[in-house]
Amino acid sequence: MNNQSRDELLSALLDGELDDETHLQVEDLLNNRPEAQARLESFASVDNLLRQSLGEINETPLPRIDADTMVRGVSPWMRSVSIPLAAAASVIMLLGGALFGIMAERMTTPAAPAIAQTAPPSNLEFGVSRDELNNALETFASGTTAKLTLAGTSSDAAISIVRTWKLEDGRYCREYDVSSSAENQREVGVACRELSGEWRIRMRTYPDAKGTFL
Amino acid sequence: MIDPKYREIVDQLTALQPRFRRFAYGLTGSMDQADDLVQNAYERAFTRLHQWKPGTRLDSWMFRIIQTVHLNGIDASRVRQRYASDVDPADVQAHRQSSPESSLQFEQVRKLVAQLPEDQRVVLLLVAVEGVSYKEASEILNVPIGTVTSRIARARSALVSGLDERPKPKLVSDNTAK
Repeated sequence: MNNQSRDELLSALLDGELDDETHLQVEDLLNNRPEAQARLESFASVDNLLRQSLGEINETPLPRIDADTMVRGVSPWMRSVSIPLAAAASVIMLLGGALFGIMAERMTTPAAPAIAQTAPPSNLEFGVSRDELNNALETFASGTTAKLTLAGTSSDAAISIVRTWKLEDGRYCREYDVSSSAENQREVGVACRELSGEWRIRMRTYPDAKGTFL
Repeated sequence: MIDPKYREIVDQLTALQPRFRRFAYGLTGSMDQADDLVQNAYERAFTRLHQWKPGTRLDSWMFRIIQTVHLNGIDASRVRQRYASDVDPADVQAHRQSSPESSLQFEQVRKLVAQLPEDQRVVLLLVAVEGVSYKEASEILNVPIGTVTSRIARARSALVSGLDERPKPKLVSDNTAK
């Protein structure tokens, strides 16, 4: 019996997946081979450690799941919007640092005045058009990624909509992530949907190759 | 609004949120990403409640949705990158509630899980953490039971090897006492 076969039997024993006959054979193996017994105990120990380790997430507050909010709305992605404003602010803080932190603070104010912004460019910088970004912002569900072929090249770009939240004045904001395989470039930003339906980029930043935000 | 005929299913799914978060945490390696993933999976589930087949396990159905959303939306390299470069403030807070030794072990095992191939990681999380049977795991992942058996054993073996390789604390020599 090789090591992989032995490990599969011990794993299956641990998981209660052995039939009676095989179970007896493995019990016999354990009685006669101390190293097999030690291996089984190490598997059980690592399982226990893993459960405890991942269980740490349940020491943090449980996000509220509101099914009615999730399925309501005029656009499919709007159904998912139930992220608290504090979480939205944390996104801005994460992405933008101090400058955008000021903006985030203002975004959490009810009916906040217009946010300081740069004028939206006609195109993103590595071949993904503004129309393509607008389409993703308007139609993609959170967590959705689409790949595009850049015009005139054999390179790909990917557009992801990361998350969505709603300002207290009724506007929706979405975090997007656009990257290009050709240029190894990436832009992460936040766009908000004006009441007119127009998407305006409120902030943008350019993580480096390691994903570090400047 | 949710169709009233699905209300009981929604309540059951919502009650299982802690398990789904833990599963998502194992998949993503980040508490923030886990909550985003679960949120997106719930969104998908609540708009597809008619697709759940009565008589089948609701948690298995949701695990499959989480796995699908995860594979569609998250690049595995980002999971590993997160461990290499970032510390989640929520992780730090959680660690403060544990002993230093267990915190180190917890961190170590999560790193090892992040280094597993995706197909081994998901089987490990379903079976060893969530208690899903091999048959259910094979149905969730659409692979033969033998594949589940093989992957879980390889995953456990990798974790045991990784934990064995971690630096051991130096023991103070007792030669001076002799």
